[in-house]
Amino acid sequence: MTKDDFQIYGQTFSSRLLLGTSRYPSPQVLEESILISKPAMVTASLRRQGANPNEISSGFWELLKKLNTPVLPNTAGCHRPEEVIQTAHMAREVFETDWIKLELIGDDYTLQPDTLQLVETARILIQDGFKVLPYCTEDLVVCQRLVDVGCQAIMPWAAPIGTGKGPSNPYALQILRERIQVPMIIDAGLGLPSHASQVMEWGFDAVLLNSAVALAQNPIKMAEAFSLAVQAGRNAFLAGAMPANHQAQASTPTLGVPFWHQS
Amino acid sequence: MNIFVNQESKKIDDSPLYVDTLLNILQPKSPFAISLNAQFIAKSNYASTLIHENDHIDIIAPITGG
Repeated sequence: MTKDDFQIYGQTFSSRLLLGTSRYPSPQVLEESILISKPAMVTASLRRQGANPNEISSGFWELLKKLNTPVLPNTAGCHRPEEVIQTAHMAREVFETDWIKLELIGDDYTLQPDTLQLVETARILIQDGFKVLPYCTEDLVVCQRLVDVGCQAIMPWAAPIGTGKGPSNPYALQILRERIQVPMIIDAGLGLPSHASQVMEWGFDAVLLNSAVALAQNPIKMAEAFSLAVQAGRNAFLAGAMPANHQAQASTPTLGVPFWHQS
Repeated sequence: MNIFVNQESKKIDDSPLYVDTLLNILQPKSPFAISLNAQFIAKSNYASTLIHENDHIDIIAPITGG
């Protein structure tokens, strides 16, 4: 089988799973989950020092350094483009990376991105030299505009963040896959490995998830399950599925059946 | 001079007060980034950026995220 690396912004990754680092029961469980699933990147964020002593003093930075997995900082919690831009610049300095997961929230109940301001914000960040991975909805036109302003990959949601519902609009996601040519990472809303496998079978390039692993009863086992499911879905996409039929077709040859239609 | 560090009021006697002077006093844990009145201040500008009365300085640190 030919090598099937995942490439975005000219960088090659051997995994198609991106893993969030929040909400794990302990730093040890987070570390084991990363080690077993070998994600392409792990996400991280920024907050005021002292705002959450448990999070900040838990040795998270030391863990990131120790694991040496590429970090994808996010702009979580930002509701205005200027907040996103300031946060992105701070993230670049702290994490020493140009990668940024652009989150611009438009609605607090669903955490739906503010698609009306997302495109212009992405354009500014790209102009500032960032490798922007925008968290977006499955809206085809918004996704196309994000590509038009220079996003070399986009991250449509499957369902709202943290819901674990799986793809809530399969039709739109599949149309999106047909129409958008850049790599697409399904970000948010996945709850089960089968959800990840499903979107990979549709041809999406990778998945980003957090709560589905962190909130599982056994996060380490679930991280492994997702890793396998992502690979299974990818392999299925590359293999090409058989066409579905309404009429049954026997898989065992019928020629020479001794009692054909005698009963 | 009174300033706000991470939303808490703080009295600093040094004047003029530059960002790098303040950081020498506070000794925040690395790594961190600084914003002054909600504007990012790059490391390279710490020595030349003046802090004024009632300015808001945020010291931002890495945390877990999704």
